[in-house]
Amino acid sequence: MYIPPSTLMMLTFSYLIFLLSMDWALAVDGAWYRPFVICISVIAVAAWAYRENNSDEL
Amino acid sequence: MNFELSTIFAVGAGYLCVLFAIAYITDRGWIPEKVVHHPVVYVLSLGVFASVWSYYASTGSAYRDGFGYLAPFIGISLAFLLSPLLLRPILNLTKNFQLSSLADLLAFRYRSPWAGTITTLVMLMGVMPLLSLQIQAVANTVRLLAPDSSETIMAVVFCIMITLFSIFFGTGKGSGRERHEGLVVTIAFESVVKLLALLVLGFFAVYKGFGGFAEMEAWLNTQPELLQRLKEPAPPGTYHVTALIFFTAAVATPHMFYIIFHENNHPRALNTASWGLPFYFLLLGLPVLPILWAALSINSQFAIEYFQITLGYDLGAPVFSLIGFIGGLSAASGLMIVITLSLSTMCLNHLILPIWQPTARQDIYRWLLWKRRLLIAALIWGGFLFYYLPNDSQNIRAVSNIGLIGSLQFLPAIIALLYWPRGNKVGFMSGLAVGTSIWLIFLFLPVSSGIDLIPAWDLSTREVSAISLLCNVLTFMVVSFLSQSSNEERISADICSVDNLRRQHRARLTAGSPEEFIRQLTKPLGERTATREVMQALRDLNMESNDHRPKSLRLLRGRLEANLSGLLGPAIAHDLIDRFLPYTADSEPGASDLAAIETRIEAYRSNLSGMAADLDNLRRYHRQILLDLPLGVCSLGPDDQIIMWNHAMADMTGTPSDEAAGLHLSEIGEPWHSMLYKFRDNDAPHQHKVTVNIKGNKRFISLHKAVIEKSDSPRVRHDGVIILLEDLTDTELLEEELAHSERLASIGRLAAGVAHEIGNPITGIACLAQNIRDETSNDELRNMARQIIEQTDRTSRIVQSLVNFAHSGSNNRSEQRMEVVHVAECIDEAITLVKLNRKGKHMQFDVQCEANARLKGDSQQLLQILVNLINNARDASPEESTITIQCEHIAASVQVSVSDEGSGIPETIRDRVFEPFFTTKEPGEGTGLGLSLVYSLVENLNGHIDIMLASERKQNPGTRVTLSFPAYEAKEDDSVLRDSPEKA
Repeated sequence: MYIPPSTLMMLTFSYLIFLLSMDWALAVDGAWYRPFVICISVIAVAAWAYRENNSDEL
Repeated sequence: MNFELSTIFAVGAGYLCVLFAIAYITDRGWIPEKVVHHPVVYVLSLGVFASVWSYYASTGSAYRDGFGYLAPFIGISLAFLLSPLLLRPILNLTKNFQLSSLADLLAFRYRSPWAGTITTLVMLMGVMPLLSLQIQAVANTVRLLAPDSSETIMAVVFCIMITLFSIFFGTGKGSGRERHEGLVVTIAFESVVKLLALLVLGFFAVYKGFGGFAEMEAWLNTQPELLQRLKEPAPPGTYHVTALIFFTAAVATPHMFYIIFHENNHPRALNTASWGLPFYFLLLGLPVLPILWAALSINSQFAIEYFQITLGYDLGAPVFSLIGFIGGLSAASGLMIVITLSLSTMCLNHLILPIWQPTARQDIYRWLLWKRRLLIAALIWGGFLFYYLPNDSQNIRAVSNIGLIGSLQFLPAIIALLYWPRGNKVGFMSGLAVGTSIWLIFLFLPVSSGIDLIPAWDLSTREVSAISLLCNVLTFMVVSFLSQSSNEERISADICSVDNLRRQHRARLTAGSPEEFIRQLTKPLGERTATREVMQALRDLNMESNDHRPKSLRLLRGRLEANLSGLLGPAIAHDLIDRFLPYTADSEPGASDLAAIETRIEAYRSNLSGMAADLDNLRRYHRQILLDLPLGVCSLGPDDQIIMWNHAMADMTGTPSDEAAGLHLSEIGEPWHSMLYKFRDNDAPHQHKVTVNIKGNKRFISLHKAVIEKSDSPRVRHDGVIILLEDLTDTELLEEELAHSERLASIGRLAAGVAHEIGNPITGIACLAQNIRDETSNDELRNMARQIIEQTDRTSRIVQSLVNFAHSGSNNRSEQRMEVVHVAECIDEAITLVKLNRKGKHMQFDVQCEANARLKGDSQQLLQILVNLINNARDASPEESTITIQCEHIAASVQVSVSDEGSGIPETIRDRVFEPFFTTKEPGEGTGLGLSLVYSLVENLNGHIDIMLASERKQNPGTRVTLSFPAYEAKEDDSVLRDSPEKA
C-alpha cells in the first residue's frame, strides 16, 4: 500500500502532537481554547503537506 | 419570544429566494467562472455536512460531553486529512466510471445490482430520519420565535420551497452526469451563512453575555463543575466510536458522497478540502462553547439545543435570534436539498430502473428527468410525513442519530474496495446483512418503534455500534475467503484496487466502428439517445468517428459504459453494454492491453518509491532502448494486433507509433501489411532484402522475427511475435556505386593496357605512311598514305583518350596538384580552347560566374572537365545556339553548371552515360570516354556530378550538367597549401 510522504508526515506530526500535548490541553486550570490550538496546528501542517498538487490522475 | 409570524415568514422566504437567485445567476453564467470553480467554493459546499445536527445539537453535546462535542468534527476531518488514502482513489473511480453514489460504487465494484439495491435501502432507512430532523428543526425554531404560528404550516411551506429548489436547480437536463454549479455555489453560500451566523453569535455571547474574553474566563473559573465536565477525559472508546461513525459518514452518507465526488470539478480542489474542511469545522466549533456558557450564565430557560436562537432574546437583542434562525435555516435547507438529490439518483438507479426501464421509443432523458423529479418530491414529502406523524420530537432526533450509525456498516466495504481485492459480492452482502441486522435489532427498532426483540441484552449505543461493525468485518472476510469471485468481479476488483493495475481486456468487439455502436445501441436506447451517447463518448475521448482501431473501440466501449452508468447506474449500464456491444467469441480473456497498463503506470509514477521506482526506471530504460533502436521493431499480439511500433518503424512506414499501436495488422496499409503478414505466417525466422516499392522508390528491407510462446500463467498473456525490420536501401545503393566504380577502374586498367599495346604499332604505321607520303611521287599512293595518316591520327587520339582515362582513374590523390583554382578563370580558358575548334566558333557562350568561386585541387583537371562538358554541349546544340555556363557559391560548395539547347538526354540512357565507350554520337565522332573521364576527374576533385534530364526542365529541354565541389574558403590555412608539393 502506497502512502504519500506528505500524508505520512502529517500523520506522524498529528500523533506526536496529540501524544505530547493532550495533558496540557485538558489541564483543568488551562485556557479553554487549548484543544483548538492543537487542532489548528494539525490543520496548518496538513495545509503545508498538501500544498503541492499531486499531478497523478489515476 | 414574540416575533410576528409575518416577519419570520418574510425572513425565511426571503432567504430561500436569495438561494434561488444565487443558483439562477450562477446557472446563467453571471458569476465569473474562476469564482464558481474556485476550490474554496468546493470546500464551502462540503460544509453541507454541518446540518442542524451540528448547528443546534452541538451546544447540548458540549454541555453533556465537554470537548466530546468535537468528536463528529474530528471524525469527518480525519477522513479529509487522509484524503490521499481514501477520498482521492474513490474520486478517481467515480470520475472515470461516472459513479454518483455509494450504491453505484458498490454495485460497480461487486458487479451486482443487488449490492446497489441493498445499499440504497439501508441508506434510506438511515437517512430519512435526518431529513425529518431538518424539517422539525425549522418548524420548532419558527414556533420558538413566533409562538402563535403553526409548526405544520411552516414545515409545509419550507418543504414546498425546498422541493421547488431541488427540482429546478438539481435535476439539470436529466442526463444525471452534469455538475450543478448553481446548486454548489448555493450550498457554499449557505455554509458561509451558517458559519458567519455562529461566529457572530459567538462574539455576541462573549461581549454581550460576559463583557469580553477576560470576563468570560473569570466567569468560567467560578464554574469548576462545568470546567470539570468540559475537560474530563471520557471513558475509553466513548468518542472513538463517534469519530469513526463520522469518519465513515464522509463517504457513506449520500449527501457527502454527492458533493465530494459528483460535484467535484477538479481533483486539486480535494487537496484544498483536505485541510480546508477541517478548518471550516474548527471555525464552526469555536463559538459553540461561548454561546453555551453565555446562555448558562444567565440561566436561560429555553431548551439547550436552541441556545443559538434564544440567546439574542435572552440578552435583549432579538436581531441575533433572527441571525441564529437564518443560520439554522441554511443548515437545514442545504442538507435537505443535497440529500434528496443524491437519494433520488440512488433510488432511480437501484430501485426503479432494475424493474422499470424506458422503452427505446421513449425520450430516455425526459423519462429519467421526470422520474428524478418525482422521486425528489416523494423523498422530501416522505421526510415531512416522518416528521408529521409521530408526536415525539425527541424520538426523531434519537432516530436520526441512530440512522448515522447505520452508515457505519459500509465502512468495511469501502475500505475493502480500495485495499482488499479478495473481498467479493457474497462476503460484502453477508457482512452488511449481519451488521445491519444487529444495528436494526438493537438500535433502530427499539429507538424508532419501541420494539426490543432481545430485551435481556442491555447494550449501550457504543457497544452495539462496535459489535455490529466487528461482526460485519468478520463475516465479510470469512465469507469472502470461503466463496469464489466471478471473473467480472475480479476485473472490477483490479480496477478499484489502489495497488493493482487496471487490466483492460485486449479483445476485439463485434461492432467494428462507431457507426455500428450506434446501430447496436439503437435497439435498447433508441436512435436519438444512442447517437447522442456515442457522439458524447467520442468527444470525451477526442476520438474521430472514423477511428476503427480495436484499441480505440475498446476505449469507446469503456467510455460509453461509464457515461451510461452516469445515466442509468452501473448495473444497468454494464448489462446493456455486455448484451449489445459484446466481445467476439474468439477473444482471449486475460490478454492485457499493454498500452493501457503503461498509461496507468505512467500516471502512477510519482507514487512509486524504492524498489518499485527502480523497477520502473529499468522498465523505462528497456522501453527506450526498443523505441530508439535504429531497427524497426513491431510487436504483434496473438490476434495480429500491433502492440509496439518503435520510432524507426514510424520513420520507415510514415505511421506514428501512437497511431499504429492498437491497430490490427490489416489496418496499417500497403505494402507493409502484405509484407509483415506473409513474413509472420512464414516459418523462416529471417528474410533478406525484400524489395518494397514506397511511393515509387524501391527499398530493400531485411526481416527478422522472434516468436514469444504462451506463458503458463493465466494472468500473463503476452504471447505473440516480434518482427524486426532492417532498411538496407542505403547499403544497397552504396554497394551498387562501389560495383560501378570497380567496373570503371577495371575498364581503365584494360584501357591503359590496350593503349600501350596499340600505341606503338600505330606510331610505326603512321611513320611508315609519312615516309611513303613524303618519298613517293605517285599521287594515288600519296593520297592513300595521307588517308592512312589520318586514320592513324584518329586512332592515336582514341589511344590518347584511353591513356587519359586510365590515368584519371588511377591517379593517386596524394600526388595530385593542390592549388587554389579560380573557377571563373578555368571557365574562360575552357571556352577559349573550345573556340579554337571550327564548330566552337559558331556558338554563343553565356557565362554567369561569381568571381569569388574557388576550389582547391588541380586546375588542369577542372579545365579538362569543363572542356569535355562544353564540347559535349557544343556537339549536342544546334549552330548559333547558346551554351550557358553558371558558377555560384552556395553554402560551402561551388556549383558549376553547363546547359545546352539541344534535345537533352533521354531518361532511358541516363544510367549509362558515364560508362566508358558509351556514346550517342555518330561513329567516328566520339570515343565514348569524355563523360567517363569527367566522372573520374570530378571524383578526384571530391566533387559530385549530376545530369538533369530533359523531362525535368520545363523552360529549356536541353541538357544541364551540374558539378558540385567543396568550396575553398579563404580562412583555410594557406600555409598548408603553400607547403604541399605541386605535382603534375
